[in-house]
Amino acid sequence: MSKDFNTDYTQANTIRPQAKSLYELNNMLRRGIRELFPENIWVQAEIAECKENASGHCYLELVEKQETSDSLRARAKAVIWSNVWMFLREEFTQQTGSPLQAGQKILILVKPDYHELYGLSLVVQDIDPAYTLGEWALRRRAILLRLEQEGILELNKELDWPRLPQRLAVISSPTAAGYEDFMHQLHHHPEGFVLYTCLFPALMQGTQAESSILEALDRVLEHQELFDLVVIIRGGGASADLSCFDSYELASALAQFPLPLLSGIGHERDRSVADQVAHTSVKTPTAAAEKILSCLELRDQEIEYLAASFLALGRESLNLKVQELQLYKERIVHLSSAQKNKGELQLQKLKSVLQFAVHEHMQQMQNKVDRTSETIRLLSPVLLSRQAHRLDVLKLKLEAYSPELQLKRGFSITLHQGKVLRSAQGLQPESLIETRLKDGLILSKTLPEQIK
Amino acid sequence: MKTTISYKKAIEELESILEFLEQNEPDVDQMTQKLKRATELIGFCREKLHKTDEELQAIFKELEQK
Repeated sequence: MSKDFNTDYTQANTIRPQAKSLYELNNMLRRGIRELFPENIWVQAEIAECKENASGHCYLELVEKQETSDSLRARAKAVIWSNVWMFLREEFTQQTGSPLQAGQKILILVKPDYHELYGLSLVVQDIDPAYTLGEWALRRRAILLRLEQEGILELNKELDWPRLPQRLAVISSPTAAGYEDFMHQLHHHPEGFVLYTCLFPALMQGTQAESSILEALDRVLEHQELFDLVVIIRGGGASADLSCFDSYELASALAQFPLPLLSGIGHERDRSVADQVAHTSVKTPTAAAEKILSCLELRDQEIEYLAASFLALGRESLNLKVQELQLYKERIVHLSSAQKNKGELQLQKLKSVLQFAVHEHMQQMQNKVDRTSETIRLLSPVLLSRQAHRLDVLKLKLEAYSPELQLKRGFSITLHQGKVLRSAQGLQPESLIETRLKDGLILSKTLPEQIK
Repeated sequence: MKTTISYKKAIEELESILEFLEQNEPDVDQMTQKLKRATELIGFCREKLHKTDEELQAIFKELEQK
């Protein structure tokens, strides 16, 4: 047996004298690849995995998929050595707004290298962020196109913007600086508008952001009748990752959400798909708060305008009545006390409503000052005096129109037989008339030649 | 009134009262009645903007803690 074995061994050496050891083979491959690629070469690929190890090198798993399916067509390992990675990482994140991560398509300058022990690896020398940005634009466009074909792209935009956006469902990370900015802006404004916020916490970046935001949306949906508006905000630097806002699933859920959405997820470059399907999108959480406050300011002005209009109408109507009465004055001869009281009563009624309205208006102004004084006290004294001056002017204006003053100014009311005298027609000579002035009554009789 | 009317409805009613008063020449009684209603509605709208609804605030707090 052993003899045979020795014979076989010798035979192998003699028959295949050129057989290589594995190391020799791999070494040949290494040299061959070096010869084949004397220069660096640009390669486009998709990242399947991306890991940075403790010594600061970045290891990538690169793939290329079939055009029509997700099955793989090619695969290779790549490495970015730490001395290159420390620069590329910053540059890529800054330019694309996202760190290098799985799912991204990249254009990289590589040197293919073969190692006897580790096999083929592409050593990355450079990355072109513009390519990745372009890929995103394409991806965004594809998502938007799909939403449009499904007829849901504009659904959220078609919802009515709330007349009074006071009850807000806020989707944000509770620890984000942006959330703090938003809340601060909402609750520190001089107008003293009441706002209600309810936070639905969610992760706003990273691979779990999408599912986390979708969950938060579901929870808002459970209480949708409590809210006027959903605000999605995300704070932080420009380097943070926004790619989760470019997902079809999230965009589709946002577009079909039954409450209007206001997004302030911080886009300095392009608008994400989420921004494009939201009812309204602004750049920052602070801008989102301003948007809401400006709506309430409009409503405030609307009410004050209406209040002023009613006051003016009431004044005008009172003046008309007073003038009418004055025209009849000269022809009143006689009046019964019962009817006199009725006319008096009518006038009194109108006057009291107006006085009430004037009082209300001034009370409201006073309340407004009381409410805002807290805030204004902290602001500059200039602002305070301006506010006070405005109130003084308003007060003067209002007082100038009070019905009391109309009588004080010399208007009077003339009555005949208890009725307000509206016309000189039909008034007999020597009729008894009563003229009401601000401080009393004059009873008089018309002379025969006085009736004309 | 607070529970039965929405802000939107209040503003709509105010606008229609205003339109009515501007286009017609109401008598004193009508005028009085309309102005009273308008004053009420304006008060309601102002309250919505400026006065905290404690109940709603409590509901939101509770929701947040869940």
